[in-house]
Amino acid sequence: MLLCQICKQREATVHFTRIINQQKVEMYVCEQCARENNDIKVNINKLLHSIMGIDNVEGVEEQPFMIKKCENCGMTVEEFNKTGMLGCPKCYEVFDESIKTMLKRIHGNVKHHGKIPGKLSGKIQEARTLNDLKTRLKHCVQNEDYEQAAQIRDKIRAIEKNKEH
Amino acid sequence: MNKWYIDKGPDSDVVISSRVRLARNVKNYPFPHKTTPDMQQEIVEKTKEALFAGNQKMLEIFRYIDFAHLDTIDKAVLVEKHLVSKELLESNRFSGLLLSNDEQISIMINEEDHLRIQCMATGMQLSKAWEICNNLDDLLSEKMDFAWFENIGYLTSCPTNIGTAIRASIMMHLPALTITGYIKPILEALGKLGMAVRGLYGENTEASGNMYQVSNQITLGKSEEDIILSIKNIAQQIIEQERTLRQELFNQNRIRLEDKIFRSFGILRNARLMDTKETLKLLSDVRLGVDMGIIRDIEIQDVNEIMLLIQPGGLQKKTGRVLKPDESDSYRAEFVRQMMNRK
Repeated sequence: MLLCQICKQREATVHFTRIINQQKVEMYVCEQCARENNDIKVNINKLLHSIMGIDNVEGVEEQPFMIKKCENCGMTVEEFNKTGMLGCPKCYEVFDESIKTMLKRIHGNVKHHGKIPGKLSGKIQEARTLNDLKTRLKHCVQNEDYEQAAQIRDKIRAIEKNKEH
Repeated sequence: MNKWYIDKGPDSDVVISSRVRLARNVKNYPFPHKTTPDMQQEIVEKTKEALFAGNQKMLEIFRYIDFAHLDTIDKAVLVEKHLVSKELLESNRFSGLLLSNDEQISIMINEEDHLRIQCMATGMQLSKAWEICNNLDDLLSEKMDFAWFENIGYLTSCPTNIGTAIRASIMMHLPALTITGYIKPILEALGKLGMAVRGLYGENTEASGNMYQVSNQITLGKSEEDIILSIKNIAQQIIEQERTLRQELFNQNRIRLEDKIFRSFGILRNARLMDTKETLKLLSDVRLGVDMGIIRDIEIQDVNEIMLLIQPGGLQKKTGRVLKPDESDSYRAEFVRQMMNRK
């Protein structure tokens, strides 16, 4: 459960983004805090939209990712909300933020860990292996398993050396 | 050539069949519901080309079925065999099916996604089905570029399928768990584990004939092998429980269990009118009887075959014409009688 960033007690159900000092700030708050906090001014009627990751928060100056339509296939956010279907591969970039939130809700984890198409596999596979090794190295060091850590470190070095050549 | 379902797979006393399907979309094209007829035709041609060009083996194994040239009976049969979705046949899209001779492997074109690569196998054979799909995907990928992003994997028209875009499912026969009511907590637990449970004929259908289809819901964040492994592990536990309960039912009240099974067998062997629902219900008892060695006159493969062919489309295909409902019931009863009295 994600806790509200204001009261730190209830579950956060409202997600919004604001631009503060040219920086994108993301907030996760509960419904009650959202209602009480004048600064946020959430329109509760539009809460549902936040489930799809579409932020409909009044009083927020600018939302750079709020592109409403995919120029490639003509898909709109409204149509997506209605049908749950995207129009083309490009939609995944256009509605990136909305989809990310939705994917998190469905799959819990937003990074692909499965098959890589044959033509791309070499480079990406290498990067993925390297990433996995680094995570494992961190775990080993945390658990003070230095023998295992040394082995993993050597593997990482070998891959990185290979990359330079 | 024998069809794939005329066979007995591993753990076939509980698992009827395994199925894996992969969704793929061709790069630089909108998803099927946003394509023009010209684009749809191009996708069909590209896919055929990728499978067949310079590949004699594939030409021998696969044939292309154009839906535009199919009559309603043939269409119904394809749906009943889980080879084509009803939605696709009802859509006006230019679409078709690449189908292997044994009907085990298929590629549905221009459904919800451009390609749906599917493989079925009897019993518990998810890994084998995945391997076949994976190889076919590799082969197609040599000549086609599929839409794929590093972080979210294969792109699908519905974001629920993104990532591996794999749906792995097994069809299980769980009479003992159903009769005793133990199925309920299992179904609830499956939901919590990210698995979907459906009836025999897919989404929104109830579990007829004590058949349950279990499939993964999560497609992103795990590898294909891990997804299959988690279904296999869960299935193994369900299989053990079902077997234990069957034995317990037998030990506790053998006569009652035998009576139930032989009554159903008797009806199937003698009735003159049978609707699909009743047939499936009685077949479930007979299947249990065959699996437990109580009925020895027929084989489990016969039960599998009956189950697939007693549906309206299958019957009409057998008789060669469109049947009215009561006519269907009469032909169904006749067909079942023949199969059940073969020995």
